[in-house]
Amino acid sequence: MPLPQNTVTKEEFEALMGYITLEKQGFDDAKGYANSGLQYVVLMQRVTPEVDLVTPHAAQYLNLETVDNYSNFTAIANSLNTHVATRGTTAIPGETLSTRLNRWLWCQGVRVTRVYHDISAAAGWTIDWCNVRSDDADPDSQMGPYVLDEDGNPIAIGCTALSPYKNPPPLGSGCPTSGGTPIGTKSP
Amino acid sequence: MYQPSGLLTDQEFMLLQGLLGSGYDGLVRCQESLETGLLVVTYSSNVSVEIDMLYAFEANANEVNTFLAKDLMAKATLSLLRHVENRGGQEINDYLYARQMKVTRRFAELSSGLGYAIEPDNIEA
Repeated sequence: MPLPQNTVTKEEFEALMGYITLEKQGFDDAKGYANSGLQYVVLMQRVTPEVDLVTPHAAQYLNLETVDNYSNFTAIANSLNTHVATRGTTAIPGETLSTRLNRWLWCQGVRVTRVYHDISAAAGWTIDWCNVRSDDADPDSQMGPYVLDEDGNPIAIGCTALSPYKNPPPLGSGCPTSGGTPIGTKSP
Repeated sequence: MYQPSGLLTDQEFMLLQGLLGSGYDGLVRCQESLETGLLVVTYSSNVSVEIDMLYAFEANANEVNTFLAKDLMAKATLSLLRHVENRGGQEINDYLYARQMKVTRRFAELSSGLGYAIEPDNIEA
């Protein structure tokens, strides 16, 4: 019996993405404080405290640096992205998994955090800036998800992987993934 | 207050314990978020969710558990506690009490995990 092709809901994706973001942010905070401690000890310019404290503080910072480098976070982001890209969308010839992920995000109305965007990038995924929360996105790419052309049709802006969408569906309106071509795909 | 030669000043000690406590807090939050994410996947009633994600989330949890939060901060924290003991000639609780200094709750947790229990009177409310 085939397994049901169930996908996480928008709410489940956002919850998991949120936990991955918080996990990374917590780790980054720890690294920042460790770096501050090391700098402070080094800048004391007093022999005895430095002798006692520099080496352990340097080791602490290096330990955190070694553990980080996204390596502990990419696998979980990768599994979540792969899950929604493969189970949440129908494959269209020529589309990459990143494109399918962007399509799912767009159609579900999910906006990822900047941290999650960066972790995904380290895992090999390209998430368009228009699928990143506006207060988190790259300011250079902040032009809004789409504008209207002279005919009143929305044109995606800053959505490189979504470029096939000449007429993107409204945010979060949901895109049919079966029974034909998804809404918004450019006709051949 | 007599200040033994080579001992950190009170301000220096307070700043360093604050940084260590805050760093530990970040690692604790990291671990809590990770465990919550794992629970969300584990308790999902959706078969595909578990098949696709359980292994990665569990592996991530195992990796993080191998460098349990306090172990990453252990050397630096121990160096600070031992500095106070060795250079100041006082046990950490006496050192704090004599100066009426109170460490952060997170630093106290970190120290306790390393065998240096800090008395409640010496911990911030």
